[in-house]
Amino acid sequence: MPEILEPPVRPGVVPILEDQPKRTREPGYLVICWNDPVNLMPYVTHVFQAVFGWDRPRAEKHMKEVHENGKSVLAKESFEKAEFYVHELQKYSLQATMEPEA
Amino acid sequence: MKLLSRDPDRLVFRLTKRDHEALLTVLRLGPLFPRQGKPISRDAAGLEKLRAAQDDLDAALAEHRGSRVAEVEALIADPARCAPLKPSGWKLTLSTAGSEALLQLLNEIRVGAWEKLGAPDFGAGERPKIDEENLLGLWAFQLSEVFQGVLLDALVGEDG
Repeated sequence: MPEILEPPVRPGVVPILEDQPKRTREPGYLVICWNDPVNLMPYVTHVFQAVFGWDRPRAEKHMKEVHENGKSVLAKESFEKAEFYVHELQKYSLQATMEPEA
Repeated sequence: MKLLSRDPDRLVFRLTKRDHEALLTVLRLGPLFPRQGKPISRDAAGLEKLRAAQDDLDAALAEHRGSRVAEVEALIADPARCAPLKPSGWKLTLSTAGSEALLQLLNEIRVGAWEKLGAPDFGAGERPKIDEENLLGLWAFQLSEVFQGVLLDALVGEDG
């Protein structure tokens, strides 16, 4: 006869991530766009709008960060989502990478 | 290449005969300037998960490039989207997807040509040597930038 086990989480109760030990959580990944001397600034702004659906001021803010600081953190995501964004940005020939959050 | 009309889903351009020839030529030059592979990560190359992701990225970009080239070639060859005008010139009608595909491809040719020229930092005053070996790359770099600029101006006008 199968043993009836108590479910670890009651139905309707969502476990709170912050209560879990840090070492068991999936690390976040930063999506970073790096400066290069070739992509045009209006092009970079357009790509940020197209990929992230941002309005122009937000896209321009990140474009200027890339240009002036050498890089801009565009998003912090799970591995899969960060990978998706890097694919999309590299399809536009931008120098984008994903880095594990420190 | 001049913008004739714009609505949220469509851009219409007029191309002179020379514009049309130049656009076709620069698009055909694309295979001469293949992009170098780019890392998916700079700081975590040792992570197994990222090594597999790098292979996925390389494969996805190669596949994407092939389908984008085919998409742009079909666009240019479609008389409904690229039609001759009387007495001369061409009318190019781009959907949102068509605009993005053409923009991506022109930029890829531009960046590929720049890499082949030795990736000079023009802003820092670096200039590639103008010689027989570099001439085609310089031409493709500059011409793709011209078409890219017109397309970007038209796209920016949509909400700007």
